[in-house]
Amino acid sequence: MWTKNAGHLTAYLITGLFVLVFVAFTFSGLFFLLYLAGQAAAAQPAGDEACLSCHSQPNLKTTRGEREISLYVDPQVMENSVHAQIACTSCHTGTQAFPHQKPVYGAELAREVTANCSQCHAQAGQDYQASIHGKLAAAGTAGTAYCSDCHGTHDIQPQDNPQALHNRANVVANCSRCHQGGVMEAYQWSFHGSANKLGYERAANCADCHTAHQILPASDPASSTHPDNLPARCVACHGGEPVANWAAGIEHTTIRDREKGFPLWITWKIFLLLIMVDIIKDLPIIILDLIKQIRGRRKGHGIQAGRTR
Amino acid sequence: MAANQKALELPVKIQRFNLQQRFQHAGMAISVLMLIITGFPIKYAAQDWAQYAVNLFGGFENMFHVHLAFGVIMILCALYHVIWLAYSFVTSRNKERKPVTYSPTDAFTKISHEYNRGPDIAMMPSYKDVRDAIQHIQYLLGLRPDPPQFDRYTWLEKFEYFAVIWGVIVMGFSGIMLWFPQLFVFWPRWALDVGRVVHTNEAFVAMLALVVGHFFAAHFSPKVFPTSRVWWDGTINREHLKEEHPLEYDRLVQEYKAKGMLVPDGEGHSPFSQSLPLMVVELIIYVAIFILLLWTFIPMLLV
Repeated sequence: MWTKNAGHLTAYLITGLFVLVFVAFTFSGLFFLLYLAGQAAAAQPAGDEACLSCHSQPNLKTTRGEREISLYVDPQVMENSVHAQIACTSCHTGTQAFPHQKPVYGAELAREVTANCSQCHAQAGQDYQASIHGKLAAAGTAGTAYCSDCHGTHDIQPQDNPQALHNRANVVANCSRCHQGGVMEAYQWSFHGSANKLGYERAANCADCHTAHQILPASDPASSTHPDNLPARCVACHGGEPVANWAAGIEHTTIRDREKGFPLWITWKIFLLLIMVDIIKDLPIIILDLIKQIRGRRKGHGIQAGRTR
Repeated sequence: MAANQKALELPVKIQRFNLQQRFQHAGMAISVLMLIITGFPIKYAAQDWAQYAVNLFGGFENMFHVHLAFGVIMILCALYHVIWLAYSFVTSRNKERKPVTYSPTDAFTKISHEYNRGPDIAMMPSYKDVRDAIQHIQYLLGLRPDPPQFDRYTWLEKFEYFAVIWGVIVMGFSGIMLWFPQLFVFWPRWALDVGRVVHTNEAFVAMLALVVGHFFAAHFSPKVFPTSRVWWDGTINREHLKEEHPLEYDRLVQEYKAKGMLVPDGEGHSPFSQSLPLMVVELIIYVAIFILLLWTFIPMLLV
C-alpha cells in the first residue's frame, strides 16, 4: 500500500509545503508592513505634526526689523538627525503655545535651546557652563559659542558621522568660523594643522588640546592648556612622560612673529640666507656658463682650446 | 705587436665611479627625490596642489609613512657611506695600485682603465679650490682668458658633496626629532618648533641645490643634455674628462705613457652637444628662474 500510494503522498506533501510557505510569506510580509508603519509613526514624535504643518513649508518666513528669517524646518533633515525622536517643543520650550507668545531668534534662540540641552546632556551642560564659552553666554556676551554652534541645530549627528560639525574632519573648520587670525594661522602652519588640512584625522585638532566642553583660557589653572596641564595633552598622543618642557614655549606663533616667536623667526632668516647662497651661487654660474657655451659655439672655437670650462 | 697597439690605446670611455659608488648615489638619489615628493606637500599644505599630491598616495597617512620610510633609507645610505669610506681607507692603505688592465675583446663596455680605486682624499677641500672658484668666476665674467685647471673634483663638485653631508645631518637629525618629539623633551618644546623650521627650510635649500645646481651639471647642461652617463655606467668620455678635469687627465696620460701605451691626441673633436636652440632656450629658462627666485626670496628676507 505504501509503495503504491507513495506518488500521491509525495504530491500531497509538496502541495502542503507550498501552502505553508505561501501562508508564512504572506503573514510575515503583512507583519513587516505593519512594523514599517509603526516605525514611520514612531519617527515623528507626537505634537510635531502640528509644528510641521506650518514649519515644513519652505517659504515660511518672518521679519525682525530689517532681517528676514526663514522659519523652515526640513522634516527629512530632522528625521535623519539623532534627535528624530525628540519633540520640537523639548528644545523649543518657548514656543509651546500657539500662537507663539514671545518667539526668539538667532543667538537668543541658541541660548534658550542651550539651557534645554542639559535636560538630557547633564554632564556636557555642566562642563559647558564652567567653560569660557558658557561663562560668556551667562554674561550675555555676544558672539560666544552655544551648543548649536558646534553640534548643529536640526541636523545634529553623532561625532563619527562625517557630516557632524564636531567630526574630527570638521573641528578646525568649525572653530575657524569664529576664531580667525594669528592663532588659527599659526595652527594651520604647524605640522598638526598641515596634516589635518590634508585629511589626516589623527593629527591634533583644536579640541585635542583645548577639550570640547571644558575650554578655558591657558591662564586659568583649570584649563587643559594651562602650563601645568598641557604636557598631559601632549603625551596623550605622543606617549612619554608629561614633563614640564612640553609646555615650554609660546604656542600658536609663526616664523613671521619676530617678538613672540623669535627662535623661529631667527632660524627662518638664517635658512633664507642659505637659500640666497644657493640662488646666488648656482644661477649666475649656470647663466654665465650657458652664455660662454653659446659664444664659444658661435665663434667656432673654445672646444679647440680644450678647456672651455 | 701591431695588432695589439690598438688595444693599448687610452679608451674612449674612462671609468670615473665604480659600482659601489653608483649604488650609493642611486640610494641617495631615490630616497631624496621621494622625500621631496612626499615632504613638500606637507610644507605647502595651504596650497591647492598639496591635496593632489596627497591623493596620489591615497591619503596623508600613506604619504607620510612613505616619507618616514625613505627618511630611514636616506640615513642608512649615509651611514653606509661613512662605513664604506672608513673600510676602504683602512683596506687600501697598504695595497698596491691595481694594474692597468684592458681586454680588447670586451666590446660591451670598452672600459679599459681600472682608473677608479675607490675613495681617496681628492674630495677634500684645499686652498686650490678657493683659487679655482675665484678664477672660474673671473673666467666666466670674461676677466680671464682661460679657466682654471680642475683636478678630479671641481670646486663646485666638492661644494655639492659637502652640501649633501650637511643636508643629511641637518635633515636626519631634525627629522628624527620631529618623528619622536617625546624623546626630545629634554629640550623645551620651542626647540621642537625650531626643529620644524629647520627641517622644512633646509628641505628647500637642498631641493634648490639639487634641482637647480646639481641637475644642471648632470642633466640640463647642453654638454650632457639630457643626462650625463656617469651616474649610470660610471664612465666619462675621454674628451670630456680632458676638458673638465685636465689635471686628472694629464696624470692619466702620464700613467699610460709610462706603461708604454698610446694616447691619441683627439684635439679639435668635441664630445659635447652643440645645439644652439637648446642653449638659448635654457638660457631663457634659467634667467627666468633666477629672477623668480630673487623676486620671491629677497622680500621674505627683508620682512
